[in-house]
Order: sequence, then C-alpha cells, then structure tokens
Amino acid sequence: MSKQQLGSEREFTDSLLTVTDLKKYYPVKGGILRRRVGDVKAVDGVSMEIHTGETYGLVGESGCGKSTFGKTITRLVESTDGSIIFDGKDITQLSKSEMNALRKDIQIIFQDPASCLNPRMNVRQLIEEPMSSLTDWSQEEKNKRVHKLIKDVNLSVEHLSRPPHEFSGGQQQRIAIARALSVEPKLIVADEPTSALDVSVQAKILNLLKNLQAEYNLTYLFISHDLSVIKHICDRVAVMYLGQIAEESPTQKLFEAPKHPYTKALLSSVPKIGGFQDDRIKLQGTVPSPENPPSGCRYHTRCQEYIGEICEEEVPKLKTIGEDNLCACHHY
Amino acid sequence: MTLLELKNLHVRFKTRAETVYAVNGVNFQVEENQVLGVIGESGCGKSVTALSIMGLLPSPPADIHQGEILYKGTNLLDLSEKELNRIRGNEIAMIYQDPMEALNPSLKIGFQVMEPLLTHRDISKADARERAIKILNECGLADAERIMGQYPHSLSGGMQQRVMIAMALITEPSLLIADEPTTALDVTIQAQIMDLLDNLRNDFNTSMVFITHDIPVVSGISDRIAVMYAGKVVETATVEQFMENQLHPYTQSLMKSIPKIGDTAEELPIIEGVVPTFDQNPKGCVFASRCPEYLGPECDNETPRLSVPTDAAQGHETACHIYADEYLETVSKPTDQTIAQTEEK
Repeated sequence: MSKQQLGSEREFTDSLLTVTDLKKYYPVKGGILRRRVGDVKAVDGVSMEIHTGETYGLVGESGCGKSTFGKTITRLVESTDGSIIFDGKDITQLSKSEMNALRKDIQIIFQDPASCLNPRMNVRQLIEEPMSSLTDWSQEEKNKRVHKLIKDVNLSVEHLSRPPHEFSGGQQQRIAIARALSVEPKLIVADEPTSALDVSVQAKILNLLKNLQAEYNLTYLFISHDLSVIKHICDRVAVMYLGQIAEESPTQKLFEAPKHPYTKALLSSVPKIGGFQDDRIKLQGTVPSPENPPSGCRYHTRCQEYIGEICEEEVPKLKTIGEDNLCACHHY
Repeated sequence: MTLLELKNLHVRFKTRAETVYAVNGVNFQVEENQVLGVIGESGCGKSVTALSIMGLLPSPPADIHQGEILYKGTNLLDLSEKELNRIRGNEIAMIYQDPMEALNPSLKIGFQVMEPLLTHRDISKADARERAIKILNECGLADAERIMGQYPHSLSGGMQQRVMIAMALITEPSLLIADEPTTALDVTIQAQIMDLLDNLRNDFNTSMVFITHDIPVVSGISDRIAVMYAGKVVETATVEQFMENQLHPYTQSLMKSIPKIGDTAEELPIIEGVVPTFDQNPKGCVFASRCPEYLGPECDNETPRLSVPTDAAQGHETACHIYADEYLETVSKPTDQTIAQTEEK
C-alpha cells in the first residue's frame, strides 16, 4: 500500500460502519421503591458513517457521551435505540454468539493501559489471549503473529516474558495496541489512547498508530478531548455536545472554518504557545446535566451566537452545509 | 526581592530494596510578584520539588540530603514542624492536581475553605464565614452560600478546582504553588481557571510556582520558565526568550514533539529512549543518553553548569556542553550576570 496522504486529502468511499439515530439512556432510580424516575441521556440520537481506511475523530468535553458512544458500538454496553450497521450487519440485533464472532473485527484501545492489562499475565499471554478466545488459529500461527506484532509496536522479543508492570506507560499502551491488533480487526475504537501519556511519548504512539493504519489498512474511531491530537491524526471529525453531534466536517475544514458556535468556542479555548489567542470566546459555566438537558438546541444556555426563542424551542437538525460539512444550528 | 530560592536541592527516596535519586540539584528563584512556570514530563521531579518546598514529603522514605530551600531568607529545611506550620497554608499555599483527592469528602466545603483562616488567624467563625463566601465569589462560584453547605462530590471538577483555589488564597499567601492545577480539566474549563489565576495574581500580588507538563498553558501565565529533566533544571529563561528560541537540546526536542493545531507535519518528531531513573547521584549530563547533539565523553562525565551562553540573551541560562566554548569566553570576560551568579554560589 502506498504511503497515505495527510488529513482531508485522503478520500474514502466504502462504508464500514453506519450508525443511525443511536441512543443510550441510563435509568435514574429514586424513591423508596427504586422506580425509574428519569434517564441520563448519554447518547441521544447520534448518526454517522465511517469509511474503510479512514480515521474518524470524535471530540467533546467530559460527560458529552463520547466514551459511551465508543462502548455502544463495540457492544460493551447495550444501546437503547437505533441501529449500528457494521459490514452489512446490524450489530444491535445480533445474538451473543453471533456477536462473539464479530468481536474479532472490532477492537478497542482504552485510555489507561495499566488498568486494562492483566497484571498476572506476561506480555506473550496478553497478546495471545484475544487470538485464543476469538479465533481457531494453531499455536504455531499464534506464536508467529505474537513475534511479528511485538516488533510492529517497536518492542522486542525479549519483552515477551515480562509482566506489564515492568513497562512504562507508553510501552504498556504499545502492548495494548499489539493486543488489539492480534485478531486482525477492521475497526479499532481508540478511546483517549494518549491522554494518560507525556507529550514526547504521545508523539511516539500517534506515529505508531498512523504507521499501523497504513500497514494493516485499519479504520479508527479516535475519541479524544484533545483538539491538537485530533487535528494531527484524523481525516474527519465530529464534535459532540451533550449526547448529540453538533458538527461534522473534514478535519482541515473544521479547524479552518468551524461552523457551529460550540466548535468555535472549543477551538478558541485551546491554549497556544504564548498564551490564549486574543479574541477568545469565553464560555460561561459548565456543560448542563444530561439527565435534564436544555430544551431546543442543547447549547443555547452557553451559546455566544444565541438568536432568540427558536434556539430554546426547536431542536436544530444536522444539515449539510457546503459539500461535506454537517452542522446542527439555527444559523444555517 | 527574592521570595523563594532553591539552592542545589537534592532529594532521594530510600527503601530497603533500592535508593532512587529523584531530584539532583535543582536551582531556581522566584521574585516577588513573579510567576515561575516549571515544565517537565512525568518523573522529572517537579512534583517532588513542590512537595519538598511545602515540607510534605514523608521521611522516610524521602531524604533531602543536600541543598537549601530559602523562603524570605530562612531555610525551610531547618525549621521544626511547629515553625513550618506557621508558614505553610498561611504564607505558602498549594493547589493540587486532582481536587477530588485533595478535598476531604466527608467535610462540607464551608468548613474546608474556612479551616486555614481559623487555624492561622485570630478570627471569629462568623467573620471567617463571611470571608470564605467572599473568596468563593471571587473564584467565580456565584452561588457561594449554598456551596458552603455542600460536600465535594456534588460539585463538578471545575468547581472543585475553584474551591481548592479559594482554600489556598483565603489567607492571602505571598507564594502559591500550583501543581498541574488544570490537567484534570476540559479545555473550556481550563481556560476559565487560567483566567481566574491570572486575575487573582493581579489582585492579590501573589507570586506563583506553576508546575505543569503543558507548555502552551504555562506560557500564557508565566514570567519566567524553568525546564526540568531527570531531577535537574536544564534551562531557565523569561517567557519571551523561551518562546523565541530554546537552547537546551531536550527543550528543543520537547517543543517539536507537541502536536500543534496550525501544524501539518506527517510524522511528529520524537525523542528516542525513555527518561532515566538513577540509583546513584548521576554523573555527567542527565540527558546524554538521549541527546541528539551528544558530543562525547564530556557529556557522560562532566556535569554541565547552568549558565548563560554568550550569544544568548541576558538571563537565559542552560546547562549543556555544546555551549562550552562560549562558557570559557564568559569566564574570561565576565558580564554583570555571571558576577552576580558567582557571588550567589
């Protein structure tokens, strides 16, 4: 495969994952009888299409539902409503055994590698485990693959016999990546894979993820709160706010000409070297509770471009602006 | 006037199994009404330095085996626990990274904010309460009276961090040590907290040691920058000098490895290898094993001194042998700066 082009210059057409109106509500129980008194609407009607080979970024503040979304499409949590079509199959409808057959194709990398690697296993066992439980490959095949993977993630064969606690955070994340790659997945959900790491280590992991994508033709759903990381690695980005997508756009366009007021505010909050930009949009307050989200446009309570009653009353739909930019705002 | 001066501070941790040298000769000064930004990656000893200023390192295992911490001319290391208690929380206050862990979950916010005042000042409870409400308001918590009666868990991360800042500022300390105060927060909340710290600094004339790994964040608030690596300060400069050019090879590599929003590079430049840990007092330059500009044996054997290379602006110090020739020239033709430094040492 040829060296991939940067960012939005790459083009993808084959749809790998299509999510339609996905919802995940967590019940809130109260009263003496512990009855259901409300819902935390963690993900509330998210639709997106991810193409084979691309890196799709999902960005938002804590509590906006981006991690819940990642867990829902891997079916680590069950969705409340909506469909997730992966490779032609609706995975929300699959039985447990059918889903297990599909797990091989969707793998996930978590934020904190230390807490997702079993401390009682050595690196060889850790990388081998997904292959043993999800495939019927022979031991010889598995061994060969472990040796290839450990070199792919820039560790050496001598490391295989060691337990995970002997490694630094960056090395542990490499092991977690090798583990996710072991079963030849098509889609990798990377949930804040570099947030726990130092910048110099983060740079190494980001480079590694890019190289592996080129080598194995991987598709990433890259979840992060760090806009500069998203900018660096993603082809398209969706900005999430309170369980809904506010804007989706090719990376270059999103950073050059953000459309949604929330995206504008978020981008201007990122500190640059030398301090904040002078015309920073100052957001007041914090994200409202997803248990009782504001009516109409969910962003209207903090919006700097508030128009009037329409913002409070009518929920803005995600509309196409220009060629490939989606935005949910009454301005458009 | 120099408010705080660290002179050749060494901290090691002794356990039965091993001894780890965490801080290996840190020197820096904080002037009155100045913000010093301390930058470094995890494991570089920046938090250990902060905790040793506050006298909060448990000993054993911690052992400050060399150096001085001078606060207004007094060496804090010589003070008894009782004397130290008169200073910390009163004249020197600290903000921690994770407010959820630093606030007591079983005490109401009001009690925790009033506590430093009731401990250090002769003040009635009613006055302390009034003062606490005022400071919570100043820290951007509009509904202070209600918040006083709540427990930490019912507040969001950003609000908890504001409570911690209020707690630290209630005694109007002359020095505030902030250890990664915005790392646990979202960018929009981080921007709010940074604005708050900047305003408070102007209102209260507080000096600050601002510790972080996030260079963009620190560059907005600091007057001076100190870069730490493996328990040593490798470069110090004013913020303007630092932004213009970095002298030490480590600082140069670190700046390159940050993904920038305006940047379109395909691969991020990286620093090969990992931060070393030391089981003895390190010899030579601590960055030698990873340095892209490694010169030879002098890097391994001789510890470079923190000083100003001739071409550099005044006050821009670095500890690296690549500027060695320039050092010699500085010695033969001493500038005011180097004379001042020699006298201090």
